[in-house]
Amino acid sequence: MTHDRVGGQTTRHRSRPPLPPMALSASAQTGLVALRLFLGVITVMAVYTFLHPFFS
Amino acid sequence: MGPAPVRRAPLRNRAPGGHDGSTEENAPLQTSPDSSSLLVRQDPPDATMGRLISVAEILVGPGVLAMLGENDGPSMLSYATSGASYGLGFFLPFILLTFAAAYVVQEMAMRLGAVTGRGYGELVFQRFGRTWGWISVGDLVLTNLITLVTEVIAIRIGMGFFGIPAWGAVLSAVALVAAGSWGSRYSRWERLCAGLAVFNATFIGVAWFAHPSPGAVAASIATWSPLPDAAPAMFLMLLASNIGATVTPWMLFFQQSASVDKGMTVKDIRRGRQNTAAGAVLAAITGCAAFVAATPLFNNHIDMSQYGEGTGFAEALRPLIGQHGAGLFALGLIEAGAMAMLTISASSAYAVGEVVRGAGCSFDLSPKNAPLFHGTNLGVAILAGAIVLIPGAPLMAIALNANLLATILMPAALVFLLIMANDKLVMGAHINSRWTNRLGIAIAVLIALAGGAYAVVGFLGAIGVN
Repeated sequence: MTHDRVGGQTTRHRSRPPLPPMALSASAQTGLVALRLFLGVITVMAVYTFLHPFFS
Repeated sequence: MGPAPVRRAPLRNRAPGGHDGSTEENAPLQTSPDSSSLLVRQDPPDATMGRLISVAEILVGPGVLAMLGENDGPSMLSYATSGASYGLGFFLPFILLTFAAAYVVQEMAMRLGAVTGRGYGELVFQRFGRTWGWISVGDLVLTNLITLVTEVIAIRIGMGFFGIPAWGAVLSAVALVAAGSWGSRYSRWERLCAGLAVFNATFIGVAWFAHPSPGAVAASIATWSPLPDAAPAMFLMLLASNIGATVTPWMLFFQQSASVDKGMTVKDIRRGRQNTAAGAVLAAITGCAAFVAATPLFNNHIDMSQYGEGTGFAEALRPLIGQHGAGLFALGLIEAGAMAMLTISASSAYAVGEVVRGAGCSFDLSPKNAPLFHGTNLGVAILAGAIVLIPGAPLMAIALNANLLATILMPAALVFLLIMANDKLVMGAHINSRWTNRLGIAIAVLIALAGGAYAVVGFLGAIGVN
């Protein structure tokens, strides 16, 4: 992805070449997915805790 | 007589948008022969003026704005709730600890921005792919929207103390964000934020009116005691809420993107660290002041539930610290909410602008040239204001839970930050030190544990399991 950012008080554009994707190992990918699932579960729990007084 | 004094050129005029400082945009700058190309020999009137300029540069920058921006409405309400619920003791040094953690995290974000010239969202998109990129931005936009709602709540509560109706508070909040976009200059927006941030110090005045015992304050910081006598769910909620009051995803996005927008480069890292440290110290002082200011409520066994959502702490404090102190608390809440309205809506705008191809992403661009950036900046503020005007909305509960959501979602943002700050391809020699990594990992684990513990304990209580 590339986009221009205009800096200073001029209108000169500057393009940056996109960076290549990081080569994540399978275990790193699995770790990120596991963290995401954990955070998703506790988010649902926290939201339920917040909302349940309004529905009970 | 020593060499002619040198001083840094204003950051805004340097290396626009870039990170290597070597582009033609630097042509107007003169190069000092024996040092960095960013040092400009000028004719400063005297050493005192040079020092003043140097201090001003440290005090005005993304680090200070992020830290004081995070001393926002829900944060101040969270600190005050801790002070009102448990008095001087465990939570005062704990709040100080969270600001130390915030420095570690924000320094990484600043360094990433200065070295790569890219915002957080843009880097996640490029290095981790679109899926993780959109998830990160989705987290941010969600937490930012809820946090913005709480900023409007803070402004509404503060203005309510002075008799200003809710619609007036909402209108003022939205108008402020629109004013930030007006003029199409990052420096102008930054000065607006910095001007508002000064009034964060009003909480120090409120703490003064509360007449805390210096000995008791020092003892609580030194001993982390007394420990709160509280139900686990309440204690964990305030623990997680105070973490979320200080270390949040929007701060990462904001400081990294604002550092890029300001034109910081690798040569500005030292100054960026000073700016971030100054922000942490200033924000810690005012955050602790909000905590101390509310301790008379604990000392006098005041039941906060008797105060309505529209009046809150200022009204409760009035008989204890006087009209002036209570008025200052209300003013402080207005400032905290107003400052954060600017920085958090900007954080959303940066995130969306960075990940949409071809969208302009800078306060230096006019709304015509960057409609998505400015539209997001203003749009999220309007949406947050509309939510606050919903009749019967549980404002105080939303305020505390906004911090909880930030705490719960922070570990994911921190993990990406740590990976990127150790990414030699983009960071080169500026990767994290071993100690920074240890601290960063410890912070991520502690935040995850605090958020997880609250979520589990709170959930078990909600479903009737003791």
